Amino acid sequence: MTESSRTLEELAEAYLDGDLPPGEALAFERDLASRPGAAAALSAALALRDLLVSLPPLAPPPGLAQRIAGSLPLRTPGKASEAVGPSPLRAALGGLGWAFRGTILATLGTAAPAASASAGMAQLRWALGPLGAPAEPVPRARRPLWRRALFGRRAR
Amino acid sequence: MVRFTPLVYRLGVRMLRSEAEAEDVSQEVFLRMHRSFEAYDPTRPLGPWVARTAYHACLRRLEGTARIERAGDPEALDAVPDAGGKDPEKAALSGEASALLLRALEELPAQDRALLDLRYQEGLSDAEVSEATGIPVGTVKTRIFRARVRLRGWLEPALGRHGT
Repeated sequence: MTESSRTLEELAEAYLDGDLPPGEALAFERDLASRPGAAAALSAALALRDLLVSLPPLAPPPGLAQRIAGSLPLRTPGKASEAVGPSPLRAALGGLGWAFRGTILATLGTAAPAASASAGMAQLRWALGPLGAPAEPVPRARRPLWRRALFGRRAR
Repeated sequence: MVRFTPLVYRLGVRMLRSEAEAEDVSQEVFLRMHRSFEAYDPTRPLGPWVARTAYHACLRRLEGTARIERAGDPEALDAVPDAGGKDPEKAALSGEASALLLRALEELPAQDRALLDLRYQEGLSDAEVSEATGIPVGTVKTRIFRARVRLRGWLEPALGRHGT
């Protein structure tokens, strides 16, 4: 598009955008001094940009971000998330010692797979063993306690 | 999320012209991002990704309503600010220039409203607007340019007063 085919308004917009070739930009600057319409077009273009920038900001309703955050699922389903890491429960237990794991699992009731209350207590005694003074030899666990607690005893 | 909720909400209001829909689309956008977060490249800025997700979510919603808008609102042009019919001096003097602009913006296509919003309200560069919308930079510049020229055509008297 050449200068002759542009209106003054279009020239002013292109000038402010820095999109005019050097020759056309110089010609437009000369027009600013000699043609009142050019100065008015530039002034109106600047005024529109001022208005666009200074429009009153639209603020989201209070609490929208919190509502959205509350509605998001805790973990992402699908294959991609499986590669990310263990389940939240496993992750939460990951950094704890064995003894604490047993205590927490018992507290949360996730030790239900234990066949009976006595078996459950035996598990807890084993789990608490390192902290207390066991009255009997600590049994050697064939499977980690968390695995037994989460998935139950292996059928034999 | 708190940081980008205003951006998503504003873009939703500008494009969909409905605060309720903007809230809905905000929730949809963050849910989509939450689900596809593994695909996010942390070496790139988050803003354009958020804006792109929001922009396309709004476009998808508009696809279903565009036909209704055209068929159901034949008098839409009546809402275009009539520079000759209004008293621009009074409008400018009473600080209604912004209100006139908002009404004029509503008559632009939703995509142009989004481009202007991202460019001037969110302060993104042409390149960032291009990244956010997936529209080539040259096209972004052209569309913004044309949108401004249209706005000026509608608002010329008020702008003349505003600029002096």
